[in-house]
Amino acid sequence: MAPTLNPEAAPVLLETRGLSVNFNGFQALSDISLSIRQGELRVIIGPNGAGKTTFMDLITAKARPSAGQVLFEGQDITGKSAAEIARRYKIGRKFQGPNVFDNMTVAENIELAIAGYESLPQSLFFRASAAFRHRVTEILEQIELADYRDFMATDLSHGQRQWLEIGMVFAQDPKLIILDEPTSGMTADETKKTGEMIKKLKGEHTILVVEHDMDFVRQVADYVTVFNFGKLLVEGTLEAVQQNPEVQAVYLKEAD
Amino acid sequence: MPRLKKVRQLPLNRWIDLALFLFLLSFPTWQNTYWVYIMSGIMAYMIFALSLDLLWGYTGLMSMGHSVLFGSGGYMIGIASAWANQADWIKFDQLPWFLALLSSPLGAFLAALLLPGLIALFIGLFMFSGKIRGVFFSLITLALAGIAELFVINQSRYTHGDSGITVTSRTLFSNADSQRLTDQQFYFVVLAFLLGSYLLCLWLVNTRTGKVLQGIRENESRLTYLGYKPAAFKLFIFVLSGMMAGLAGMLFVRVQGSINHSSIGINLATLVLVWVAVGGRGNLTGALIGTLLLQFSETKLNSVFSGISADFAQYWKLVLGLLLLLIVFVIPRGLIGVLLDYQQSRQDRDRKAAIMQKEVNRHGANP
Amino acid sequence: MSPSMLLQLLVSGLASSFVLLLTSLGLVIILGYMKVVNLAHTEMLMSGAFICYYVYQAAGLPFIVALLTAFAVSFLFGALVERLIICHFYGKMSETLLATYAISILLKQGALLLLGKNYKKVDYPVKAVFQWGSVYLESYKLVVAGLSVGVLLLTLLLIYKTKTGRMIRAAMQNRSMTESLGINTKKVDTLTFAYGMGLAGLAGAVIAPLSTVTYTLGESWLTNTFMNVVMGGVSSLFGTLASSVLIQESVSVISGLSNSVTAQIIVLLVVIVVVRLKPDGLFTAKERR
Ligand SMILES: Nc1ncnc2c1ncn2[C@@H]1O[C@H](COP(=O)(O)OP(=O)(O)O)[C@@H](O)[C@H]1O
Ligand SMILES: [Mg+2]
Repeated sequence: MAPTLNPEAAPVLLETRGLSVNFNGFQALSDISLSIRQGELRVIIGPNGAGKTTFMDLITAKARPSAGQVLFEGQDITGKSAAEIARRYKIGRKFQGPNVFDNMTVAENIELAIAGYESLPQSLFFRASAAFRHRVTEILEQIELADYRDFMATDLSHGQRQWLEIGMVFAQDPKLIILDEPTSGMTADETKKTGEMIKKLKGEHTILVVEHDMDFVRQVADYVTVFNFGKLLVEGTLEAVQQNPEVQAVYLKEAD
Repeated sequence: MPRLKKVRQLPLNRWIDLALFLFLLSFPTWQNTYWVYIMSGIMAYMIFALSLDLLWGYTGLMSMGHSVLFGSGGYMIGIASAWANQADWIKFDQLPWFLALLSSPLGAFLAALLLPGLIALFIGLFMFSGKIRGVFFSLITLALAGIAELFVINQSRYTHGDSGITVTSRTLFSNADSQRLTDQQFYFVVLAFLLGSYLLCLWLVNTRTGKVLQGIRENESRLTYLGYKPAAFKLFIFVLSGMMAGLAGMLFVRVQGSINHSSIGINLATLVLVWVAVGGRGNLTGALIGTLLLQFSETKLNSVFSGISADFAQYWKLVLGLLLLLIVFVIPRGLIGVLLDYQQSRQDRDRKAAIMQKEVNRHGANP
Repeated sequence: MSPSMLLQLLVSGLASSFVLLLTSLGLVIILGYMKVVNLAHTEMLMSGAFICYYVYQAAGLPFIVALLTAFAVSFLFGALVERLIICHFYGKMSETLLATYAISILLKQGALLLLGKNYKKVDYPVKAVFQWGSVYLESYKLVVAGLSVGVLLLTLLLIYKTKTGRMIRAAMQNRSMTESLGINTKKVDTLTFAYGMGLAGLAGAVIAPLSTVTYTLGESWLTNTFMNVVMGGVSSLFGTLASSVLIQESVSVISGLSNSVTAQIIVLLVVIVVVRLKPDGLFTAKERR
């Protein structure tokens, strides 16, 4: 299972330096330094409460670090607003558990996410071109919801709502795709399809995934980072990580 | 053919809107002047309700003091008219600088739109930062309505205090007594504005901006992670809605022929919430129908019961309270909301059947 | 303005602060701990004032009996309302606002239609007036201040020192967790809402001698109590205390300089600015970043 592309060759897209955060005295993350190269698909694993979601919060400005920096394409984006990180730096994020616009249709959810029309005048005088409509359909097909475009998001199944949010992230056409537990609550079949959706993007997009499901991790991952108690435990290929006795002790045994 | 299909897929409530406007168009031909006059007032209130629906129904910002915007528009016309006709309570011989615009008819018209817009702008600038809870917007606007009412009573130099202002001109622009359209004629002026406001709202809610507004209502924080800055959109819709409320206030004053503090206070602010809640929010039709239904019933019942009990208005409020409770419990999406839910569920059923059929076909083709 | 007049304004402003504190407490507790905006709050004040009139003024029973009756009746009414109505709408802001507004209409119109439009006057239970130099203060206002602080302390005691209080705080922090620990959050909700309403009734009875008791009494308190809650925030009862003092002192002094409406407008503007700068209230319990 060799990586599809030589990670040493591509430039670094995202880098964190000594990222730490403290919630009312609770050290949720300490000193996380890692880098992700362009075109890489990185999986972060770790037990519940290890700080995986918090790590993504710091990248997307949902939370502010108490120390450390986030660098994106070499630029320091620590302290930028969430909207700016999404719009200007093009980092798209899927949250843990579906986080969509419930009482809007599936198509409307995707349309809202399509990037390039975020300012008020742009949105006011926006007219959907044929290319735009085609793009929406294309994404809906990608996430297997083409037949559901006129359903309200709230009427979808849990797995479909997860897909919808994944589709919204695709629609943003981001340079970095962040997916927080994209398969949680999915059936085995749905999980597999999700893996395929993500694998299709491999190489073209840079993807950062948090996942619990080990079958899914095996399906998509080349390179894995393990978090535990807010610290970066170990990084490496999936095989290497699985061999690591520390990792076996804290995580893999209980997950399998 | 695709056009025909589009028409057939139109939400049910657009047909109701069409029927409503046809009804309003024909209304003066078969009703007497009194009811034409009453209906003109109700139509002004409908514009008001539409403006709240944009804000509350679509964007999820529950203004509990929307009457301030309605009333401030109305008062601009009231003061302009009192000044133009030198009402006997006017004790100043020059308009102060902040009311200078009111000296010309067109200026008064603009002021009636601008002042509510400015009030909305001011409140919005402070209230729409990301950290302030949505409910604080409701509470601040509620407090604003309470204070605005005291304010106009207190500023009797310009507002004639408790007694309010009589407006005898009834034209679109002129404030001079001598100019007066008939009830019938003015009815169509109001109707034209109602139609215009409705079309503006309909256009707006179907633009991408309209979808962003709904996104704010559904999940504001998600929008920021898609690169939107919701504050700008909220400010825009609050100002627009405020100006529309001001327009409604202006028309209402001209229909009614008077304005007093009750048009700016908590009473009307909550009344309009009830109209929109009963009709159903977030679809425009609900705002129109709720206002029509409740205001029409009140007037009708008032004429029936006022002979029996002098306290009709008080009993009516009690009924409104009970009705509101009932609506919130039984059909929280309002009358029109129920209808739309029904249509949606039927369409969903058809679509699901189609999806099933497709599955069956696919499996049949390659087992 | 002479110094003695300013002093008088400050003293009566401070006295009014405690009145405002008392009239806001129930609202703050319900908003802070249950995230419910209780629009029926001020009509509960009105009802409490009426209860005070009938028990104390009309029936001639001791004042303290009137206070306790007002609290008990409002408490029971609150419990009933929570069980029948409010409990269906947790987490739905518009619906709770509409439902509590509907309740407020029922209370107000009920009072009007049952009890009439007449103004009713309730005598001061203590009549002495203190005087220091040119500064006057009715002794009853001191009693109110004492009561107000007493109720605040009692509430803090209940919240921080009793088992129910701990449950309330736990439920506020994390509902599902609390539920999974086997705590009956439903009961906690009912108790909290009932207590908040009970305090509103009590406050209404306390202010009855200071006001004319009539069906519009609630309305006149609406603006101030709600502004107070917005400014004080909901995370700390001390925030309410601070904003009560700030609001009433400003209203008192500015009213002395111009008039009470101008004072209210200025205070509203201040509240808007304060909320912008400190969205979590004057005293944020602890930075949550
Ligand atoms: N906003 C916050 N305030 C306080 N504690 C938090 C906050 N966000 C996360 N935490 C805590 O930080 C720890 C890490 O959480 P999280 O990043 O969600 O873990 P994971 O996603 O790995 O399961 C948890 O103990 C969680 O309770
Ligand atoms: Mg997580």
